[in-house]
Amino acid sequence: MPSTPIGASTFAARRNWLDSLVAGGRLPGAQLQRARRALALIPDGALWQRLIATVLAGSGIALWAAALVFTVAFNWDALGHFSRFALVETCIALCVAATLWRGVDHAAGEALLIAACLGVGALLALFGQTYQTGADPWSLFFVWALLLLPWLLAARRAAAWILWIVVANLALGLYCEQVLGHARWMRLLRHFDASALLALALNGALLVAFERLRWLGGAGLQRAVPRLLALLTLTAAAAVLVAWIVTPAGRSDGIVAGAAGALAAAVALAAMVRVYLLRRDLVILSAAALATISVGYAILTRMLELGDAFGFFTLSAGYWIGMITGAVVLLRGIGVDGTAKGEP
Amino acid sequence: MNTTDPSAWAERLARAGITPAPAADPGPGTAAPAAPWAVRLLAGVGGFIGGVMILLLFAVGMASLKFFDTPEAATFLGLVLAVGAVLVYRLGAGGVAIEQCALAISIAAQITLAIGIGPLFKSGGHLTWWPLVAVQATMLVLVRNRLHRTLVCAAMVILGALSLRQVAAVAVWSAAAALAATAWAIAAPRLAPRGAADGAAAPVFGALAGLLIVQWPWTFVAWKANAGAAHLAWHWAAALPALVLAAGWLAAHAGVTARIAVFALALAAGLLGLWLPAWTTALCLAVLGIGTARPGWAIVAALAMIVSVGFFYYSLRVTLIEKAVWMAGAGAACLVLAALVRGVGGRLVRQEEGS
Repeated sequence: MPSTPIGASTFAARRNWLDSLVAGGRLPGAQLQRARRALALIPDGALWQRLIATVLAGSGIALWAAALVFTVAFNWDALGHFSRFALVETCIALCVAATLWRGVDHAAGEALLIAACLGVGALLALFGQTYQTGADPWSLFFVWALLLLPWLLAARRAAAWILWIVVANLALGLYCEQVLGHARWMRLLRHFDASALLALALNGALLVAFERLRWLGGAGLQRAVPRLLALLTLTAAAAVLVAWIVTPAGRSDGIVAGAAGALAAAVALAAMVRVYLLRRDLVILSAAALATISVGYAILTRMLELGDAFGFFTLSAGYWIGMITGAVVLLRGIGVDGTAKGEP
Repeated sequence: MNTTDPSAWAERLARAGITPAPAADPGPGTAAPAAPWAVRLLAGVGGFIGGVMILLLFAVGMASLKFFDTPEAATFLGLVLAVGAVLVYRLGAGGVAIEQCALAISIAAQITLAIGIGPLFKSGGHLTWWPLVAVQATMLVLVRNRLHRTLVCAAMVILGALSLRQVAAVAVWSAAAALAATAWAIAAPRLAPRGAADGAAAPVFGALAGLLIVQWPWTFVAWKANAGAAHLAWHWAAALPALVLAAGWLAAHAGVTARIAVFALALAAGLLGLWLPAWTTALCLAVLGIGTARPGWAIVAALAMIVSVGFFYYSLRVTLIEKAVWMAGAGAACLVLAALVRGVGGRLVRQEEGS
């Protein structure tokens, strides 16, 4: 049996197919082990050897890294400010050097790049702790995201971009909570969740950038970055609409701003459905269907009289089952391959 | 063997004399293609939410009848829901939405049973959760759904460990739970030979890793805390059979029959198992998860390792620098083992291939 690396997707497909044979009574359970061997579902000796040796070596390095962290923690109070900065910066420099040595196309190089990105966050946290720069974690995350940009534009790796998107969204969330929450103009926006609207703007803009500039995402996880951004955008759009729908009636202030925000979210949702319908990207379309059904449910709850719990839950159950069934039928009609147009 | 064509797989099985020559229909793999995963996920989410809504509707009806007022009534209701969940699972087998609806009913059944059984068996102490475990075990056998088996298995292991913890010394309950969990992991594929056995084995190994993490994160800490050779020996004696049984499971069900794998597992169980049992269990899980393309197992292993180091960090009986030295030693042992597996293991593999 050849000791070639096994593709995880075909591996899982073979395993599931074999399981379905056993479940369907087409293969006796006693023959399962032989069948697994025949379909190369059980790695051979050489592959096991390489895997076990690699995992053990990785475990050794992880334990050494943890020992280093423990040693630093033990001596932390004894270290001066500059020693602490030097320590963290040395770690970042070593990670960057090792990334350059291995190359970002290598899995280890990509992992080291992410470690360096995380190290920058640790450095900023240390800076804030040492110089007491104020309780503004949003600015920490903002500067962190800003500092990572040049590396990410140069490396263009999907995993690193995902980290950056998380950091950027955290910065935005903290900014909304710590700064906008006290701003006077926020009173105009209280008919809907302003944070969700800003998240919609940020992730929507990033989504457009990544869809237009395909080179930005680079290699790595296929379509993972645009899909993550699309899911975040859809979630934000649905949150804006739901917040607007469930806002109690009778308020006179901020109606125009609220309606404008809801209109923007509805347009964004419709545009995404249109674009991804053309591309037959069932992942995003499924998420869009769920978002739309959730918004519809918010309208339903607003219209229904909550006092009649029996009727409310009857309608709710019917609504969810009916809408999801309809969405599944529609989506299955669009395509069965589950891949986006142009996706390898 | 990188083809995605099931007919090629069927042909391969036939050539190996495992199945008769493939007919026109080589099996369920060539039936109408399943819906894409995203659509199935949407159907599953919808089925689950629909199930929750139906249950809420049911709950409103029951509340008006004041049916939840007594533990006996809640227990009865829980049993009715459990039977309902099994029926929905069996009648709607294969339908993603219906199966998720049944999962919602099953979860509601188990929560309702817990609400009823808790007050009913309060005086029994450690016996409180065994009736629920018995119901879960019955559902486990009757429902052949991987996700349901995974969740029920995990709940059973946790409830069993909690019950044992009330009656026995820590070393006894954790050892007993670890051994029972491992025995289950070995027996599960025989009890459920028609697929879905993985669903039972994965949480059991996860729970086993968790138990070892709680009880034996690092033998160094145990030794410092108790400073008793007998106490430590008891821990080792309890941990070793679990590790040996885990290795046995690997050999029996993951096909780790190559001499190198047995050699590496023996090394890991014999040396690292005594030194850092939780880490070793997680390592075995990681190797198995990566080697057999089960990412969930590898994720459980990685989490187990992180939690293990976290527990070690906060063990205040030992100074950080002592812990650092201990970890550096463990890391060196791992690297030596890796070198041994590469060197000696390579020779074993070549001998195996030669023979």
